[in-house]
Amino acid sequence: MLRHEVVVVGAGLAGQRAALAAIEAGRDVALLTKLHPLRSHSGAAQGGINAAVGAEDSVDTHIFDTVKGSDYLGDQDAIEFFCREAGPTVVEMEHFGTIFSRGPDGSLARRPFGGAHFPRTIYAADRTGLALLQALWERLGGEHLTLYEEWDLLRLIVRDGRVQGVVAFDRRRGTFEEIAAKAVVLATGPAGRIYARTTNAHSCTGDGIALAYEAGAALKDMEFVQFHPTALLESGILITEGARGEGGLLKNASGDRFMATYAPHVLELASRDVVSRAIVTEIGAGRGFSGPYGGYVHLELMHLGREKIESRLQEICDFARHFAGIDPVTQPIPVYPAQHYMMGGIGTDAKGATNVRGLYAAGEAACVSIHGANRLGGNSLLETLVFGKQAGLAAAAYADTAAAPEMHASDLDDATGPLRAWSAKPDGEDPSALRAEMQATMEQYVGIYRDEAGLLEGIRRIRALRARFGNVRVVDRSQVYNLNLTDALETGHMLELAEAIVVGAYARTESRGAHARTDFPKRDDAQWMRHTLASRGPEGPVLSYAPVGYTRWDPTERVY
Amino acid sequence: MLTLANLRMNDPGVRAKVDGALKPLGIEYRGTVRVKHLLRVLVEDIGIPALRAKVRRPLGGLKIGAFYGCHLLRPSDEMGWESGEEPHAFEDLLDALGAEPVAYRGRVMCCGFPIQFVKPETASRIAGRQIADAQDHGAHAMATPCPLCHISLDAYQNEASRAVGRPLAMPVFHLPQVVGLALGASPEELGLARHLVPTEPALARISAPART
Amino acid sequence: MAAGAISVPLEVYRFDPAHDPAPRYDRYTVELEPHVPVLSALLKVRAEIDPTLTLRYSCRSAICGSCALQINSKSRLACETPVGPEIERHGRIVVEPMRNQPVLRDLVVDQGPFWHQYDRIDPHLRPDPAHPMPVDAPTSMSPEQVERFKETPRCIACAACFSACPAVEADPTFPGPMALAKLYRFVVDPRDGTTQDRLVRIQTEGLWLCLRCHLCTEACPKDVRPSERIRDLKEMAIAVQGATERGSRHAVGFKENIRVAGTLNETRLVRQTDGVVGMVGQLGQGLRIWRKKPELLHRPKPIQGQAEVDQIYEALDDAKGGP
Repeated sequence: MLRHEVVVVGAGLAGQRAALAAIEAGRDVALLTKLHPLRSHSGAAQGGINAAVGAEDSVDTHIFDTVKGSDYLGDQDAIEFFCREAGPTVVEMEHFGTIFSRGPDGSLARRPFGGAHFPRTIYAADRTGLALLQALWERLGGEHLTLYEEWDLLRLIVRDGRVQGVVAFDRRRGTFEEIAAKAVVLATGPAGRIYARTTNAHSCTGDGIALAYEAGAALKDMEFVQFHPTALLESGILITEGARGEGGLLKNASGDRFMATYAPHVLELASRDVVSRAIVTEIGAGRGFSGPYGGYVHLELMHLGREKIESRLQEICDFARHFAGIDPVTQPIPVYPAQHYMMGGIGTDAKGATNVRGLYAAGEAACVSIHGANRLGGNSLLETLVFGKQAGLAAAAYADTAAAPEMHASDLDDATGPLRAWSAKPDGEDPSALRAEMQATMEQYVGIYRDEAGLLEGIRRIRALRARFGNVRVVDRSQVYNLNLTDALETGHMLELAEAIVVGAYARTESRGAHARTDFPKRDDAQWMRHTLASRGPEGPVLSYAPVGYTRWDPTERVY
Repeated sequence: MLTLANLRMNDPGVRAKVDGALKPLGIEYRGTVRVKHLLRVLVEDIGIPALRAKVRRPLGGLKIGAFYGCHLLRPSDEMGWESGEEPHAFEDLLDALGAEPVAYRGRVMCCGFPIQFVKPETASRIAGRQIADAQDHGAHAMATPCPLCHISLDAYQNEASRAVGRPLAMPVFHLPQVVGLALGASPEELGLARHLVPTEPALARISAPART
Repeated sequence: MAAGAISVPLEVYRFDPAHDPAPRYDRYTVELEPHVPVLSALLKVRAEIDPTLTLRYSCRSAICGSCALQINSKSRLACETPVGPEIERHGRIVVEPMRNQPVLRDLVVDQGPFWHQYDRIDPHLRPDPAHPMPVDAPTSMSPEQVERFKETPRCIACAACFSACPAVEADPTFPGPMALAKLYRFVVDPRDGTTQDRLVRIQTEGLWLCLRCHLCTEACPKDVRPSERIRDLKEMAIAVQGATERGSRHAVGFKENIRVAGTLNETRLVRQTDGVVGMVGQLGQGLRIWRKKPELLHRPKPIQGQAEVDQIYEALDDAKGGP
């Protein structure tokens, strides 16, 4: 059996930063990931990372913008810590070797982003995530680290109220592996693939969130799902908010800048939930464009000129050209809102600790919560690094004093039994068909606008799919890179989370941030300024609620 | 290479440097000389139909592996001509000459020559792979528009054969030689005797009668 | 079938070394619009025809670098290669795993050799202890300095260049295009304190094995242009260390050689590169060539205007601030 003090699962920015922190604290660390670290979805983040370093800006303004952006569901104490860490975090990443874009005076260049008072988003062209991921891997790769590359997490072993280790699956060899660990940090990213239209990579299937839930961790605020306003039609590929930050305009089929109706002061740079709802409303009212891939609006960059478009928005220029056959220098880009980010996740405190001893989480898989009901652009890259480090430090400190973990002989068989059964069946459900039905269900009933009838139908359908998943079958018998098997594994994880999302959304009878109920259009602070916690019960999620951390920012109406 | 040199003349720094070196001699160069490879002239300026009409001795029966050479094609965005990986001009030309062009992956690969003086065994292994690839796809001969490729493929073919551990006997023509043959020039006029790998077996494959 | 869909015949490499005696090509036909990428075609096969087909993929937007394959023999990202032009040109799409990395199964390769070469160039920023980073502040770096990285920060480590490279195929000591482009990224970084050591080391660790064939630049989906960055590294290496290796001696020798007569003296070039001792080793080959091409034995006569050639050399040497 393998043995490490700290096992970090997921090798994007949060996982790598956690691993680095734990190594620097003197622990023996393993990094387990289903993708090579450089292929993590963090690398797809385009726009930038927020830090209030401009002379006109202040940490307090960053805090306020984040609190307001969260629609007052973010924990203000955690947000204060988060925004104070922003400057040092960016400086550290610069010293690690990140190649940021620069201003003429040699300082870090900044661009405006939605929901922010000042240009606060530091960037590396429109590939900021990739730039950070490269620099961090170049830094971490020089450390003593055990890398379990292309391994899937199968189960967290929790006994006597604390983590004892993990069971994993080596994709390349097809073997099941046990790793005893004192502490585990989950940084496995989001579950965007629950939805049909998503900007997320195919790998974003919420494995760590689902396995934490299975192991007894509470999930927080799962009903808050962010839809990014500008995904490329058909493929759902992200067109960064930086495109609007650089001056891109949104127009409907009549050529009107319709955001003037919804956010008269800041127009295109309103918060993401506001812009996404505006687009859906325009399309619903017949003012959008329509085509074989559904309704859409135009994102216009042409007036920015070739040089600005090709230098600052190089990647999305390529995306539009390659994936939509559109040249943004001369043509508008067809866009629609698509699932983009999960504000919710494994509930943690500001140190990354969950309600399970020895289990930590960070990044998009976790919910601290700093994003509350809606995340601001430029805050998620920052979150991965700030709270990745905190989780790594906390896990290292815990592992330093924790007793040796105890794995039992039956752990491996228990964890792998279901997988072996899937492969032994003569017939059964096709995991990719179940996945497609789940995606369509979530898109239709748990999307940008929600109501009671739709959510009830959503619950019914997701539960029916979960029942059918009990009969899932894997037809591929190969040991090596068996995607049919990992498809089934991931689909099972996503179905668990889909249920938590839809049940949480049904219960929350108000509209706040990204959660928009047409039957409860107003924010209800008296009843609902509190976090949803979902624990796994035999009949599905068991909901409870927790107060929001408050320091000094009283809720007001959110207008942009 | 000369095409790329012309492109570099668009860089003001390079231009100033060139001006500085040429001015004392009373010479000026603005990068305006049009550079065009013989293959391109044959295909674009003379044209396939005109060339086909001039053929006196069709190369019927002869299977030829076109070997492009890197610098004729790549970087393709700067050369602004054929695809850098899937060109067809040379095959079109061979077809016009009555020969049968052979499809093989090695046709757009490197001949190894650039590192002949750096690491000869690696250079020969690279050459050997391309020759063997042509041979495996049924080529009786190869033809190349690049004189350095010719050295690598012909003059060093015995080394290439040793490097890939298999016998190779592949006549390699220069581009003008295959055109000359089809247009009726004699092997003597074309200097075929100067090749290291004898070309006679390839010539013997030509089955079509000469036209008059 | 969606409006404008075309029939896309695929021939896909299938091989499970544990079970199959030899690779085979499975044929599938899917209906897709021409702009749809090959990755979508393969995922459609997986979802609707054969779930046992295996490949690496993740972001489907050309940023994670997972899905590089050979598509009709070209090394490409499957997610950004549309089916239409391939069908137009070839009538079918042959999909094979990347080259130069052993096949694990079907389209999935063992990327070990690729990452090994990446590790070899020491891909870690090595700040100069004598010039510590500013405390609590980012390093100052002008936009011009950022420009010097060229397009190397765009590299997504997809290994398409590694798959396309004939030098990688022929010689395991060649680091390959990606690793060398990555090395360039560190060499031009003003924060790195080991630039000179990196250049000196790479001179003997494969830099001069680049063939300048530009196949990497053709294959690169992010326009990193590795072949051009390798050229830059060669120039920088000579500037730092002089012509100490066969490759650099050949490059510098070539330049000096032409100065003498205004045209190349090929026999002399061999001596400049290999030295007299090295030349003896090539004597057998030389004799074979000289017999067929006797003119190579004669020292070329200076061309008309050789004096002007000399003057140009002098002016360029002066411009550089010395010979």
